[in-house]
Amino acid sequence: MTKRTKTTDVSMMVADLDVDNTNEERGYRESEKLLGTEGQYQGQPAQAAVGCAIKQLPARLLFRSAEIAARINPVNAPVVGMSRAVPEGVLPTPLAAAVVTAKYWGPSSRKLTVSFMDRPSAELRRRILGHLNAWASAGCIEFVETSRAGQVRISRGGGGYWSYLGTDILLIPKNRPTMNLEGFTMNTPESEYTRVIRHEAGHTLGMPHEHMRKELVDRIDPEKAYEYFLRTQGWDRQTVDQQVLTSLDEATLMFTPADQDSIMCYQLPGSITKDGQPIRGGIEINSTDYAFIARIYPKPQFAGEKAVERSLAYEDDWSKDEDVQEIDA
Amino acid sequence: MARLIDIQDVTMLPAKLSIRLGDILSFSATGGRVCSSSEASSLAKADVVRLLGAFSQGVVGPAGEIVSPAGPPSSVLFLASSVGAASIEVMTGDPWHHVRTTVLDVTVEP
Repeated sequence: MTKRTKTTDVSMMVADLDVDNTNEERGYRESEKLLGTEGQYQGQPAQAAVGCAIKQLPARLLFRSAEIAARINPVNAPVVGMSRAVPEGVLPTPLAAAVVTAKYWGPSSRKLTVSFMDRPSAELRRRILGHLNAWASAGCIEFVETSRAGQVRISRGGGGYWSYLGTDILLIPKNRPTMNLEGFTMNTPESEYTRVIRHEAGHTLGMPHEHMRKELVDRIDPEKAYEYFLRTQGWDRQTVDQQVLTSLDEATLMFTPADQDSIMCYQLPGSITKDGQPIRGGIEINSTDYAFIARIYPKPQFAGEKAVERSLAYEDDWSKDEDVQEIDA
Repeated sequence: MARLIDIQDVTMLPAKLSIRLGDILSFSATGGRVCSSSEASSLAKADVVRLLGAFSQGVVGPAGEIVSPAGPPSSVLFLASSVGAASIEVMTGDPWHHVRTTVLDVTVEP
């Protein structure tokens, strides 16, 4: 009887990793500048801080305006979040249904509670929380620990690294984890905390795998991928199809251009791509990730306000005959 | 009665693994394969242990929808399908970064 365990560092197979951390830091600073500083208007009444009144379209045009905004840029699609939060009868169209499937939490400030399935030390819990909250510097969602069963429930058992996607975590029975961080301890290198926990937190925020974007999937040679994953994982063709070769339905996504350096992108070796170049994969939240999270989870512009409340805006109106019929977008 | 044997950490298993015909080994793992197997009676190559597949976990939502996590498979199942000996590999860790492969010799008894 023999039991032999060997470890293969797949990352060493990914040649020409060209990650410029200096650029990442610079990019993030640029994002911060773009976002402005939270709390800038703290203590001032919202209306007093507003230099001009914001006008709303007439109610009859609101849905059409959302449609057009989404057509111009899918990130503009209204974020609905959980279907149970949507009143009955509000989802009559394919557009709205597609948004619901995206599993994003919605643009309002939110705190997701976090608990642990085992009993890690306070030091380890703090360290994990710190990495989950790396996203919070750019967006309006943060993770806070609770002593009760949290919305995010972390286990460290076998089965690798995974997380349920966005609002799906609310469907998971409370005695089961929503995120798994196999074997994470205080001895795990900081680089792994950065790469893995921030990636899994991205899933909890509703972000899918970047390497499943069509532009990146199209770079993979299917036959090479089947051979590679059969050899390294024993995966059959169907599993490889699901894990690597099936691109996401971009119609259901709010997205930026495909980014192989995103923290949400796995490394894939050059031996399975058509051009022999690896898909590098992200090892840190990059400037594109931060900018994206800032767009879908915008920080409140004014302390104590969720954003621009419709009640603060003035609805303009004109006759229906004057509505613009053709939009050149 | 056949057993569903749950193995959370394959690297912590004892040196010898002996199971019964019909048992299923369920590893918390990302992948696996059967390296070799032979029937006890003839030493002929056979499916003493058969890989059922690599699976993601899933739960049923209130509307009957199946919800699965984002990530690689998290469970790998083998079925003890005939009496004999087999050698299997079980992959754990991160398939995209650090793959840990554990080789196990398994004996299937009647």
